[in-house]
Amino acid sequence: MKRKQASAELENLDEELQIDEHIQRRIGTKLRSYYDELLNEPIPEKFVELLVKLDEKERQEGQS
Amino acid sequence: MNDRAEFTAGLMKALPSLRAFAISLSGRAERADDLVQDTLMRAWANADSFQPGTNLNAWLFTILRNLFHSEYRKRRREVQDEDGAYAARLSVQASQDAHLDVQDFRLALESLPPDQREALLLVGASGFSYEEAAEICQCAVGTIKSRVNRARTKLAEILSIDGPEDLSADARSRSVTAQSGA
Repeated sequence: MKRKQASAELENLDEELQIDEHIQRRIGTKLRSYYDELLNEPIPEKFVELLVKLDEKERQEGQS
Repeated sequence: MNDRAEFTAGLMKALPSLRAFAISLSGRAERADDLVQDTLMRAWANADSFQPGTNLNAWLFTILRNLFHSEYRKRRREVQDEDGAYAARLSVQASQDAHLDVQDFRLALESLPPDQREALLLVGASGFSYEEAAEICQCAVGTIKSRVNRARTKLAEILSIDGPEDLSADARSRSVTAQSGA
């Protein structure tokens, strides 16, 4: 085992190595399936409408 | 077409990931939608300060995160009780449906401290590098690494993940596939 370095970043890297690779992979898989569900949710219409409205306003102001 | 049209297209494209980040950060769809809306408004008002060609998603996530934290600090006290009761109700429900893996995961994620949760979400789910996540959170890269690490450790604890032997259905089917392929 190497001597502990003073640098905070290396300390963190040391800490990181303590996590079992399998555990890390399993958490990663769970995280992504959780997140994919959110990513695939339909986007509320109001956001698209808001952007269209802002865009139109910008165009009108640009013309005048 | 101009920069502004490109900018608008970029915002449209970013909507699903902004919303997913907002929901997982705040834990509530309703509040998340307010966050996304405020982010869009602020991004639009500050469009001139965005440099075309740089990472628009990282810029937008920074805005959303800052809005979340200023809101969070303001509302922390008043919302805490309400959130606790909400989480308790959900955890009863979730334990009744043990197969609801994603639900369990969501609850575990919600129990993490916000700084660890956001670091994990940025690096592990939203596809940002440690460096980009550090920029979004305005902290050192080492800090992000440490937060992600702590988040993973805590999730493993909560979800009782302690090694490869306790295979999830997912991993089981993968190992079966691997065997039959060999």
